[in-house]
Amino acid sequence: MSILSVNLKHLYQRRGLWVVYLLFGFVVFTFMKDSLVHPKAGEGDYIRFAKLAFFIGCLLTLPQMEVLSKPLSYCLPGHRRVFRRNVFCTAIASSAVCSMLFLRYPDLHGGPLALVLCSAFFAGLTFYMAGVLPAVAGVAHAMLGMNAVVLLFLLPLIVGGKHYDLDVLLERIIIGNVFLVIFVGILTSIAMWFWLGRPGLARRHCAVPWMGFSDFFNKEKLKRYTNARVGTKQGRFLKHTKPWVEKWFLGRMVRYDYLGPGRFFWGALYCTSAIAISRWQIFLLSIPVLTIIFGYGGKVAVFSLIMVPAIIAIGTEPPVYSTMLISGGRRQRFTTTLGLTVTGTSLLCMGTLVMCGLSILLARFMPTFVLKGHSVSFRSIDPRVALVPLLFLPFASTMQLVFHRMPFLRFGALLLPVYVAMFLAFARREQAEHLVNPLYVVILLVVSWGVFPLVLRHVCSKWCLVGQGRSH
Amino acid sequence: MTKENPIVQMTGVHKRFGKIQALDGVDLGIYPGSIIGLLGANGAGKSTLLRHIIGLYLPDRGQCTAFGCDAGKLGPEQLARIGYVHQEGELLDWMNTGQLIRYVSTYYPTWNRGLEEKYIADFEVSTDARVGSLSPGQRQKLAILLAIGFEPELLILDEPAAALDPVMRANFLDLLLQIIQDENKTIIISSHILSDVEKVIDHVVIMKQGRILLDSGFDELRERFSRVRVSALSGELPRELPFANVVQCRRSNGEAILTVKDCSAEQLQQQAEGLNCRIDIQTLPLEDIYRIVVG
Repeated sequence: MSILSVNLKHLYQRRGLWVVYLLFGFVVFTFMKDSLVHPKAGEGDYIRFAKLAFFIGCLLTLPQMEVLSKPLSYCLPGHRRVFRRNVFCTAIASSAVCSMLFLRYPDLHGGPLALVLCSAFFAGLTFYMAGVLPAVAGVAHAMLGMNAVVLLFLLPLIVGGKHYDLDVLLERIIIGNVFLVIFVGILTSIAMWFWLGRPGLARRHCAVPWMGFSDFFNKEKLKRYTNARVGTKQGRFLKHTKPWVEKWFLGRMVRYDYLGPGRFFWGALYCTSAIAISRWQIFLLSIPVLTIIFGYGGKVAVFSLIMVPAIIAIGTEPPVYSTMLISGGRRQRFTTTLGLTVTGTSLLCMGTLVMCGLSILLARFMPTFVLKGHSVSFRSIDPRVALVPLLFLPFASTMQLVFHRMPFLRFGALLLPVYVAMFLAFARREQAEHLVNPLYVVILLVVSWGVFPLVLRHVCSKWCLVGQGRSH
Repeated sequence: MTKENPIVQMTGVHKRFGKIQALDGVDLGIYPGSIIGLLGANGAGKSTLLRHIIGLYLPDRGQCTAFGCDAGKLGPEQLARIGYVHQEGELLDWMNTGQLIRYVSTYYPTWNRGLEEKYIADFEVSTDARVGSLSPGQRQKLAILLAIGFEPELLILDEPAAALDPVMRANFLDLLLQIIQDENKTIIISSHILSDVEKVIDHVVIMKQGRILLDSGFDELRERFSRVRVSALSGELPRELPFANVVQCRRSNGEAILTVKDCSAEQLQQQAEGLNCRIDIQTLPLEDIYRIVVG
């Protein structure tokens, strides 16, 4: 087996990546089904698959970067050269597949079709290599230099192309300026070949704490990466707790008896929220900003408010699984986790209601503007959206408990309601309207808030709370 | 040492993780005032056993109690009497050291500020440093400080000195020796550095594959094993050395070095006289005893 083929095996050996592929495939199918099944010439449908190459490039390069950053990789004979070959192998394969859609382009045959296919192939290759750049740099350096160009300019271009006729323009360029596109593609490929093959690449990344986009699910890695940045230039932006926050929380804690639940609850709340409270200005500012976004965005509010519990569940550690031993036992872990969930839900609901109230005030003043012929006006947020965190935070907390040591599954389970909601909102609008009635909401509330404490109780009374990846 | 009221009692404890039987019928009693060395290879079940004591794991079968309370039901009343230095050393990385000490101390009514300041000075802990930026050795020192700052009755140390440099290890041992002056303190120390452990312990528990192979007082254990250097009084050493209970025998340069088990000095002397040999009896270090017991 060659070194190249061994490295390509990473793309299917990692079971976590299957979930990512599945999600990616689901997103592609949801949003690009029409472009695949019934592409229309001149409307930018054909170019969308070339643009997909950007995301594929990012996605497939990440596992390779992870391997490259491991110290053992540096010492493996022949490994440093194979990274570049690996990238190009996958780039050529995916660009070739993505460009095949142009076979269906009407009124293209023979020589012109071959040229257009080449042009599409090299366009895909260019997008692919643009996706490789942020993957190689990792999250920390993703905003620097070329990556800033890619992320701030190219990414919106790729994502927003449909709304601003950019896709149409790109399609015209690929069809009408084949030699230019091929030339740019070849130039990009040559530049990337040399860039990825430069001698210091492996040494620069060897054993350096590195975070890829997928590593947000890996709390240990995130912690190691954050800790490694202390003392660097980026370290000054790291989160710190303000002294008054510490003083306030410790003051609350000492009011309660050593044996009572209050001390543990306030201690857990301190651990969970101290950094966020230290940055209270950001939260205060985010309320009007989010109100405006939700006011203009319509259904965006609902999806965002489903995402927030999911993000909280992914980003925070429930007190149940804390490995730092204090004097609280399993019962205290139960009460504090329950208390934190109730507190978090209440705060989210209150914040949502504040935004609803603010939106009612703003609705009188916010202007209406026209975007691509459509009128976009500010509307007050329906107060019923405050039910969203009330329903979903206990669900997210349950997933957090159950899939504590399976981050990809947790992520998938948490995004499931988002996709269900999106599906209902866009594809089955009538059924969605039908579901939003008091009876179903009450049922969901009862189930959500009934299941969570039961699962929590089971975890606290039966499961192992720490250790080598075992949950029970 | 009283045998009446163990502070920790494990009876028939079984624990399985998937296909691995981590604990297999463990029976163990820990009595007040004892300093127990918990020894075993990697994967023997030492950490699993210790985590049962503080309730982080629950047995599949059997019972584990600490301070008279089922380990799964331990509450602040019991846990405030137990200090635990965790092998993985999980701390709150986003706090600075001073904040973390203040936070942890809030939970313990017996937290000793004077002791805290003393340990901060002895361990050279910087209270402004962010916990996440500490080196493994500094983290370990901080974890030890957090575990002993409230003067716990039961101190559980799971590989406490693994990340410490030799100087700090010596300081840590001195600290342990100070702690054990108080007869009310009970310490369980799990460590691979047996040369350090044997300086402080008075009881040995050796584990292998989830089972306890040996549970004995350290002095009694040392009396059971001896290293005997045998040399001939005149001429060559006999080919056969029929000493009783020989576990190991090594010959070199006209002498033999035997490891003998359960044989008193008088018995050995008698046997040596019968063979016209001279013997020199030494106690075995814990590391050698461990190797013999584990096999």
